[in-house]
Amino acid sequence: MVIGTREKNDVLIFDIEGEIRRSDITDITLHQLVKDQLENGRRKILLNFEKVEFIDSFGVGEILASYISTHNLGGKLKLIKISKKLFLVFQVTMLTKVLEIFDDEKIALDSFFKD
Amino acid sequence: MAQSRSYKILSRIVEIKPGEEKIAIFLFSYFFLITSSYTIIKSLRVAGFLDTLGANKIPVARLLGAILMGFVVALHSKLQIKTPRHLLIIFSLIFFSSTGFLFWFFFPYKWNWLPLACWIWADVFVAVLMTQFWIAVNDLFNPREVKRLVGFFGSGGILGGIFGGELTGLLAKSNVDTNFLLVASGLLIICAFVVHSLFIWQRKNEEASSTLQREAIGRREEVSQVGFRDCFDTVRRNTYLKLIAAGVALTLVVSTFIDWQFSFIVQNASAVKNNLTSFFGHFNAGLLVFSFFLQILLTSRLIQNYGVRFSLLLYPFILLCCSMGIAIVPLNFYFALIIKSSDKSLSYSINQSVRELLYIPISPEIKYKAKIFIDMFLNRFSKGFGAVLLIILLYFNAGVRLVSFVSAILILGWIILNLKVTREYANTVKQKLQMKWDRADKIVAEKLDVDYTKLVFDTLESRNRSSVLYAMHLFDLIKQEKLTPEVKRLISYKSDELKVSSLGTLFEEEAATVPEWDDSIAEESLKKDVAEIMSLDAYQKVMKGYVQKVLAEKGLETETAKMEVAKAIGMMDPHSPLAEELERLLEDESAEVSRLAMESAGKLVQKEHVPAIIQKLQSPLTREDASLALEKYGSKIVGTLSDYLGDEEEEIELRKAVAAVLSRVASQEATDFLMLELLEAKVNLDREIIDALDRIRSLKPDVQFEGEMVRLELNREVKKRCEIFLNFYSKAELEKEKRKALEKELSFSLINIFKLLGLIYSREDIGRAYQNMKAGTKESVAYALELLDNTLKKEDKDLLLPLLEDLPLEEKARRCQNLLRALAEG
Repeated sequence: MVIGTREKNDVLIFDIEGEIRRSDITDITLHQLVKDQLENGRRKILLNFEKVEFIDSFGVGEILASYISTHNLGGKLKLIKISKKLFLVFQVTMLTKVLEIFDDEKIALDSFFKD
Repeated sequence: MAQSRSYKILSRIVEIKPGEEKIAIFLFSYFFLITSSYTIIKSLRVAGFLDTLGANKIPVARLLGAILMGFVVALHSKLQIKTPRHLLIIFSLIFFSSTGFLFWFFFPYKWNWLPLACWIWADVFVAVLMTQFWIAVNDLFNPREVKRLVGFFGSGGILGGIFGGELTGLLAKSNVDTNFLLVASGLLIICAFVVHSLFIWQRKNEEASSTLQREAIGRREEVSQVGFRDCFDTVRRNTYLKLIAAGVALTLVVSTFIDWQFSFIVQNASAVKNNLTSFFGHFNAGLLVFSFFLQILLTSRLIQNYGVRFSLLLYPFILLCCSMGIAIVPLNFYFALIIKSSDKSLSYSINQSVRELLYIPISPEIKYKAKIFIDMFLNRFSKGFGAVLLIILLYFNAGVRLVSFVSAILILGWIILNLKVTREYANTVKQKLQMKWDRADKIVAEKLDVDYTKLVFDTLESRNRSSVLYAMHLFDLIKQEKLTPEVKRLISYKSDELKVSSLGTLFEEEAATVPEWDDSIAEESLKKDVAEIMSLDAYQKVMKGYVQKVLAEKGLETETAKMEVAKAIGMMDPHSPLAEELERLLEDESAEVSRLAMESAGKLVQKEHVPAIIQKLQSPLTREDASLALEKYGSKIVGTLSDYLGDEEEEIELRKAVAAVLSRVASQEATDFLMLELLEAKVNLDREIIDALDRIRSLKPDVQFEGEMVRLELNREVKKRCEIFLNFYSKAELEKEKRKALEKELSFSLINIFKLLGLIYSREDIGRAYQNMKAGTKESVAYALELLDNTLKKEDKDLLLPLLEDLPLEEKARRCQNLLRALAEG
């Protein structure tokens, strides 16, 4: 898994590439990366899943832990461009009730300021 | 910021912030000018009335005034719709100034009806201009600002009363010297200029303020007002306003009674009965001077230090004591003197200021209607009602003693009303503050079944890894009755793509394909069959050999086989021979194997596995699974967890994770251990432990927190915050990175302080206050502080409010030093 970061309109975007699974983690986890940014005062975080092929239960835990850490500090964490298949799994497991998921990056970015 | 001379002078007598001096002076002058002109007019109207119509006609004048007030309320409400606030005030000032001039012009004609018209006109004058003044105060300030400044600008009104009274008394050349009407009119014209300057200053200030604040100010103008009926209905429909109105009514009825008692006792007092005029003159002048000093020196301090409730109860409580005194010793001159001076001085100063403060958190559209009804109409109506009650009492030959008893009963009712009002005031302040977010772990726990979610992902993931693991996950779903039609459809999705990546050697030949879900499978019988097979001795013996063979192999090649074993053990009896192998699987180098072993350990709940699971808290790869497994053990491992938490030789990351696990257990015992460790911790674990306690508070509101221990930690956090702040403040030349680090520490210390407060007060109220302080607008910070002011005990307020108030850095540093000194002295 490779994670790149960029910033747009005060929103920090994590471009994730590869698979978020326990066996692929080397040095730092997604949650740790999010926590580091929260420590730096960032409160608007967008996870871009366009190039994510698969996530396992560890990946789900990482996303939820990142969501919890962000929201507990009054921030927002949202997801964009997850695959249709993954979205289906998210729906069945009701993750969509908690996580905000968008198809379009611009709409997602705007949503941070409408809340 | 360079401080003006007026600021330097004012800051000695009133707690003022830089930049507030202009508005304070404007309001002081505004109040001074309207009260001084009213006092002049009041003297003239009485003199003119008595001179022409005599004292017997005064009740008629009062009655006509009260009737007319209903029309004035309706007219004023309608004018408010069409006219911006500042224009309405200036228009009113000019109107009363020019009508004053007309009275001066027509008085020499000695028309009989003119003094009556003047009487009613003066009634309308004071009702309209006073109401407008306090509405302007409501427009301009939030409760924090009013608390600080009301003592100063309120004293302008009292000083105006002294000035107007003394001016008329000293310079009047005849019995009815109407030339003073010209003086009053002139003062009103000056006042119009003051009001104009005040609103120009306000507009400039609004332009400089943020968009959000401008919107808030703008909303104040969007008020739709109608007539008297609507103003009355607004009060009738709102419990808080009804309480305020009832309080005002009782205050005035009691005041009417006190007036009569005082006059009666003084009339019969041998010490003064031969020189009543001189006595009343000195007494009234002395009273106003006393009120002025009370207002300027004490009012703000009293409200700020002792809060709205105390300040609102002080006035009726003193009157109650005096009334009881008069009831016991009916004709005691000194009791009469005390009750009258208390009534007038407290009513002009503290009571008026606190009463106005009560309106500030109300939304503008309601507030203006209510103020017009209460201040213009109810005020006068209540005085009349009090007089009627008194007449009835006197008709039945009630003496001073009986009137005092009735008075005391009314005051008791008034005290009860005030208690209710202050409770409603705190609620009204609370409603101004939105709760913007709650702990997300609570939301996730309420909306999601995390175990099930992970199991679905595991099931899907295992399709590509092993048919055995896949089958076991499916079986797990069946056991938990979570294999819903949606999940079945999901796991059947593109099943032709599934490949078998690795299978255990024992099942290799059977597992040529991944099993697909067949609806004909009877779930109940499947559960029974699996349980029976796994409990067979023969199964345990055969499998033992296989498991030992798998475990003996090193390397990642056998990872899937080990995962299958780890998962299978979770389905067995905790005391089965195979369960003994779980420990080795827990310690496996593969995170995939150990996490399935932890999942099984969480199902078997055997104490011997706990140390191995706790060690897994160190790695971020296994931390979450280890936490979930330990959570399943519940409170029976709280002692063990606490040992790890307190063990300074353990890795800090492990200890932090243990604190989080204790918060998931969320029992009273876990809470007590966390509290103890918080107070004893030598390594910096504060943030994690405080967060764990906050999590417990949000999940289990019935868990008890020892107030004394929380306050000890609160003192420590406050001390830490003061030290960080002073460090930050004293080193202006600090590198950017270091300053940023200090700012970060300040931010986290604030979170800790509020989380600690949330343990001993309503977590929701404290959360509201914190979140609105973080929002950072002047308005939200002020209301957050006001909520804390009305929620915290005095000892906590004294500790925290100096840190939280929005003040210049210099002042904050001074307060931090004071706090550090106070904490050091214990």
